Amino acid sequence: MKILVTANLVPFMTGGADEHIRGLCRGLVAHGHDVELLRFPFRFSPEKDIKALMDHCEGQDFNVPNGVAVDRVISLQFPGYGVRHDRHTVWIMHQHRAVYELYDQQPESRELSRLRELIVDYDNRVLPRAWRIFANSRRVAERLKQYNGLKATSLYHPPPGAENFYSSESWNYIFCPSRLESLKRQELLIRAAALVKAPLRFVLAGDGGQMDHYQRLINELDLAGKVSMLGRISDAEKQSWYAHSLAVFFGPEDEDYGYVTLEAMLSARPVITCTDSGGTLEFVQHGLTGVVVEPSPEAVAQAIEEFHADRRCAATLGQQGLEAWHGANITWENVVERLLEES
Amino acid sequence: MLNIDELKERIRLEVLSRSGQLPPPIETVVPQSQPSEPLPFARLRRIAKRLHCEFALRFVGWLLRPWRGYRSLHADMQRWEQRLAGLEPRFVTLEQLITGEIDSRSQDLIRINQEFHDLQRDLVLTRQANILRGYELKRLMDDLKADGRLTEDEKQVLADHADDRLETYLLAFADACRGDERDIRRDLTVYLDYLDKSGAGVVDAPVLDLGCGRGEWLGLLLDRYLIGSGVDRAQVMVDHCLDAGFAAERSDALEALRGKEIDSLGAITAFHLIEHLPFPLLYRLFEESYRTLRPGGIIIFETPNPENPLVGSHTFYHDPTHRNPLTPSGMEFMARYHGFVSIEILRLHPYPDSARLEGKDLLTERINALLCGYQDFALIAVKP
Repeated sequence: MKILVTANLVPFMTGGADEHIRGLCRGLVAHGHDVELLRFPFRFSPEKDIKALMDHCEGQDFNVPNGVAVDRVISLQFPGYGVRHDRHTVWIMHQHRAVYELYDQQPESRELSRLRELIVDYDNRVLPRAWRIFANSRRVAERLKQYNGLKATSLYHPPPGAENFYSSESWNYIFCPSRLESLKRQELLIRAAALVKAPLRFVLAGDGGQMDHYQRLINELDLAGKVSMLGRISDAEKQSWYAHSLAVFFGPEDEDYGYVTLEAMLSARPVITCTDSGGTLEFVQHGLTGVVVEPSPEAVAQAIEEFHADRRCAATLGQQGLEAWHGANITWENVVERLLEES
Repeated sequence: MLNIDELKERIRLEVLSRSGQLPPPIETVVPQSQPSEPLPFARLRRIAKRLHCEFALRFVGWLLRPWRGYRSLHADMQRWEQRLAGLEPRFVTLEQLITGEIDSRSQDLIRINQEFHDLQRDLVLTRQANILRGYELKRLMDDLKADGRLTEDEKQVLADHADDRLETYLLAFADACRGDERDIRRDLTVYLDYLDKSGAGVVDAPVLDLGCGRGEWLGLLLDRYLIGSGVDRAQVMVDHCLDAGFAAERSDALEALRGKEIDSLGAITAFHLIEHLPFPLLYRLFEESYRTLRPGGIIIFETPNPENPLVGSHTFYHDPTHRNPLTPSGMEFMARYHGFVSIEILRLHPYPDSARLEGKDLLTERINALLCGYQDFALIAVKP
């Protein structure tokens, strides 16, 4: 089949989304299809640029561009999912979060309020035209239901380099890899570290806008020897840090999907996450593959103390996480089959 | 507990070892055996104390000692087995690393060997240049001695020495082009049969080798107890032959022949000499050869074969003292004209098979015959 994939391109801001897009294209090619990837240049501001791109996308009809019949179009992101095709499959990574679940946290502005109206209207208009709608996770599907009244099927994909994760002996530290942003809530872990009495270390990997803030916090709480920020690390380093941790902390606020959970499971590590962490809850089952606690430093600290006190329990939960991963059949082959199935 | 820096170092080493850049660390920590307490002895002890029969409990404990020891030993063994199973993949990685290292060292060795060979060749050239400089000095001294004091002849002496410099170059060139001594000797054995047939190499019919060089051919004769001697214009070559125990003297080829009696030689050989001679000298060489050979004596003259266009148009001119390529037909006529009989052209030294084009069709065979054919030929003729 000739398959057109649409996604965004944010110049020089590569992240999980790029791996996701490439992974899908590779999966489709491996399945024997002709794949063309179309990426729309995206800017977060000013609002009028977003509006212009929405209009542009909605004006695109990809049924027979230049006389070439395209069999399927698969769209991954806003606003690319506005293009038209009779068999248009939308596999939505996430909506434009700033006007949905994160809207309340944004500074009030007339432009944003106007943009919100435009985007909600756009989503309500273009998404129902799609032949089929999938969501990146159950959480993303829920939001679509909640905000737009649309039904979507959740479809999981594997984190990049899934085959390279491994498990080894614990070296007594809690690992927390994620971009250093408020939404990822590393602050919970840092504050919990101050409360933990057990002889454990806390290792944060990644960089981001909150790095200085977190470093100040570590210094203020006098945790310099106990909590360490590694900054950006290589994939190989990340895999080794996972492999030797006692447990992984990942307690973001309303995450869409969250590779960290899956990577921890692949490394046979239990995950400590929070009741409001969104996508992580689809994989972390309390007492089975990790623990789900209230988003408070005290609760996180207590969970960590418990893992330290009962290391065998930590190891068992980690092992069960790995088994849960294998049971979930999260593979690109499965993704491609589901996206292309006829009915 | 490990501090953060130790953790970072450990992770760094593990990443390196997993990427194959470092042999994996071998764990030296001995697993500690934890004393197993299979029965609630503390509680039993308390009960026994209350019942005042501690002795009986101690006795039971004593009876169970071998069993407890066995349990603990068994647990130890299991731990060791696990540890060994963990080490196995590390040894495999180590083995791969070592194999890789050996491969790269072998490459080094081959390179070093090549460099050694190059150095050795340079050394030979240097030594040769030194020898010649020695002769230069000696000649200068001789000339000065003969004259008593510097005379008008000084100019001539200096001119002679200018030629020596050219000669040094030519010797160096010959040395650089010279093949392996064993290969040369092997190539020359082809002529031994002709000597046998002609009966040359005895006291009254010796072999004379013109332009004997380092004496590979003379050495071959000596090995077969054949009698022969060589002449060469270069004193260095003559000395080399004399040092090796071969009979040789410094002389021009034609001069040497002129000095020989009529019908006095069994064979006259010249390997890669005749292409250096201007035609009048070449003509006289045949004349003198015919005169000095006894009846039944033979000439063997080897020279590059211009039938191969690569030889005739290219390789022949590597040596600046070569004059013109000589053709098999031309040389055959030259020999017949001077009265030689049983004239034979022996074509030698084809290009190696690896140089040939693949294919069996006529065109390919023709091209192979033309470009990959014999690089040398020998004129062999008998004086009736």
